[in-house]
Amino acid sequence: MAFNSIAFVVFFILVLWLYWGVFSKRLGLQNLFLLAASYLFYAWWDWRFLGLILLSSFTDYTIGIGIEQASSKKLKKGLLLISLAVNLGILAIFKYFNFFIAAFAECLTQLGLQPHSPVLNVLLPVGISFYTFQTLSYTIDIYRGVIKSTRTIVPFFTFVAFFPQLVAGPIERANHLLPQFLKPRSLAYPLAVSGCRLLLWGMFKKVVIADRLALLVDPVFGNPGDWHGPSIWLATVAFAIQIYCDFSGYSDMAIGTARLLGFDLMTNFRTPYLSASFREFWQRWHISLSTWFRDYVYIPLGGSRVKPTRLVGNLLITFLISGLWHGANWTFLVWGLWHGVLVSIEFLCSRQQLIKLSVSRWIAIPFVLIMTCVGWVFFRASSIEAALLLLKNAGTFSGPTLSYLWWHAFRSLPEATGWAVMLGLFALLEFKIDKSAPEYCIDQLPRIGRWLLYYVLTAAILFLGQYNNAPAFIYFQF
Amino acid sequence: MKKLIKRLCLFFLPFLLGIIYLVWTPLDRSFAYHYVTDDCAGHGSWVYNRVFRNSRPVDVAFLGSSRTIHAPMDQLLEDRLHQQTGDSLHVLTLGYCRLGLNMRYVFLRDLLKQKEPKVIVLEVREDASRYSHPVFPYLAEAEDVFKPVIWFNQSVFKDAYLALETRFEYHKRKWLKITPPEYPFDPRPYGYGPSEVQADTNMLRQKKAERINRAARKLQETGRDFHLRFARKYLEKIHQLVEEQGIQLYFLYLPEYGWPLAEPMEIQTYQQYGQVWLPPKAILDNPENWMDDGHLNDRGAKAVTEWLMPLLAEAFSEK
Repeated sequence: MAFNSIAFVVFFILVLWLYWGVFSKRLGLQNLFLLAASYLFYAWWDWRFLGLILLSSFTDYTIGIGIEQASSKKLKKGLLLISLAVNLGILAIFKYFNFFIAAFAECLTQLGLQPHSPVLNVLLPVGISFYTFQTLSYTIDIYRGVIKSTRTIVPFFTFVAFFPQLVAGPIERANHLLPQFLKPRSLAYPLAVSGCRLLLWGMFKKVVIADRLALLVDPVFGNPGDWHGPSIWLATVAFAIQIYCDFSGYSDMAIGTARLLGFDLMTNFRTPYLSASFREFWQRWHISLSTWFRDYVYIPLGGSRVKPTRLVGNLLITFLISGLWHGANWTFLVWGLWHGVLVSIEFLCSRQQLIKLSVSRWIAIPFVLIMTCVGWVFFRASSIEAALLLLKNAGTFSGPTLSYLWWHAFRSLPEATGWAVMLGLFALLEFKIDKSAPEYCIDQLPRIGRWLLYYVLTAAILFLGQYNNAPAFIYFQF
Repeated sequence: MKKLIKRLCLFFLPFLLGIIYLVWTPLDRSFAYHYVTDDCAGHGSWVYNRVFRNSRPVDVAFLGSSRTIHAPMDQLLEDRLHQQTGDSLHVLTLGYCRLGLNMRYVFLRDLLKQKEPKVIVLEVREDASRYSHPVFPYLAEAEDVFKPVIWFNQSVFKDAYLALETRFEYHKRKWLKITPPEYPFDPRPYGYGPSEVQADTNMLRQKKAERINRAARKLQETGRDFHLRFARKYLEKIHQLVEEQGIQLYFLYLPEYGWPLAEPMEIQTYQQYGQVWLPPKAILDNPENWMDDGHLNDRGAKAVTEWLMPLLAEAFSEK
């Protein structure tokens, strides 16, 4: 049940009606209803996935209490290790088992052995990486003494399964989201309006911009050997915008949906392509994940207050794990490594003062964008070989023309023109949003401008949106 | 909360008016028939061409599912009728994949608006289909979808949504100049779907055994009157349409292979509206006549066609 489906629209209207209309008098009932709605939402994909989320929730609920009550440091550590083993074990089995077995078998083959490698035929449960990280942060924070464990089971289970952010984040921290389940909520007008605005803006980014760009991206990355030069550049830039609009669109809709239920979720994107450095990029891209890795991997490794060699090591390890988090494929590892190397170089340059970087922001932004796009080639390609082939062919000029690719995505000139105008509007608003938030930016407009924008965005969603055979949200696969 | 609901209502008001406009305006038939391109091997566009654009008349039309597409050989029937009666009668096999009497109703209404058939032969199966045809909302008029024959029908909301979507898609494509000014013309006059494939006899035997059990269960089924209200209502509507035009309605029984009952379970209902033609068991029981367990091959279709010939000649002699 994706946010851009009719099923979700019907589901959400019913949830809103029951949530505010029937269950709003008693907080316990409201939470219980939210939990049931979240499980229904998740079961819509495959009811069997519910077993995993229940296991994960139950484990961390009991271990959280156990850690808090444990008398010795050793026992606390042991319980934390159990939580890590269960959660990461589930992730390892469902997401990485086949990848590591194949890699191990490949190593043995290189050594001249003929291994028989088992293959696990399991479906990757939707959103497993997101809720696993969310629930893990809860037990780690209790272990560190940052938060207290919760004794009320329904709010905790709802915190893990909260449907707006269950399948693709933002990955919330317990100290931010969990307390919101424990206090009464009300639908304040400004909060609800900002939620509606985010839903509209997110939907626009997903169905108008991202899903249309997929039509430019998929042919090139699907058959990397057939394309050359400008077509590859176009497809790469298109993918950079597609993945941003797809994922930030989802995040905006998740935050908007949560606000309509009276919750505040963390910001996940702040126009990352307007970053003038790689560190800044990671402060503005998938913020909930990058801060997770900062707090639970990078800083425990020693962070930046170490020797340069160790610092580089810490950065590379963090980015490699971040790459692996995205998927069990070498392409994601290379993508993580690429960003690790870029951030490391930047760190070293600024720390050692090897190069005094005083270039204009308007030169730095395109440079960061180009480097990011190179990384996206690895991220989107089906294999390392395909990515390298695309990078190699990017410098040659033959094969299908740019206009052939363009007209693959559009069926008429008015459609292409209308879409190009919408892309311009999107870019304009992104520049205006910069480090603020879309709903705040819309709020700055005069009333007539706001209403005009609402209607333009809605008309674009209806007339230029992709619905039939539209791709699913990219981050659902992670 | 009230303020939010008021503002949202205000915001959605133009869209509500848009929906009313979509429901109010008639659906462009050419667009509707060409819209569902990936269904039934694009048969919809051929149906449109044959009914709306091909000037060739239609005297006899066989309406039904894919079983009809693979049963009466319209060209052969036409030739034989000409040889026997000397009349130049035009026969049309007008089938469309899958079940749902409401779809036959849509085809029939369009056919009657464009042609002047004298005989309509409606395919009937072992048992009447209880549900809406999946393509019905794409082709149906607004009245059929938004004022359904019975409200207790699991497809009511889905049909209404798809009908709205089709209408919206028509206007959208028109405004964005996506729809071609004219779809290419398909001049094929006949709708029979030839097939020389012969079904695997072991598979047929297995299916036959399963169907004997299924038929026994069906015979003991309760609540048939409730379940079949949808189909019976549409049958009434079909009968009303043909009666208004003074057209003779017949029913052609086309069961699947191995179905043990010699006549359709709803035969009494059909007999209220017209004669039911029951193909000989010798044709239906011969495994060589089937391309799969539900459809006849050329050999079986030819046998059915030969058997149909005198029945049709007689139907015309009664006119």
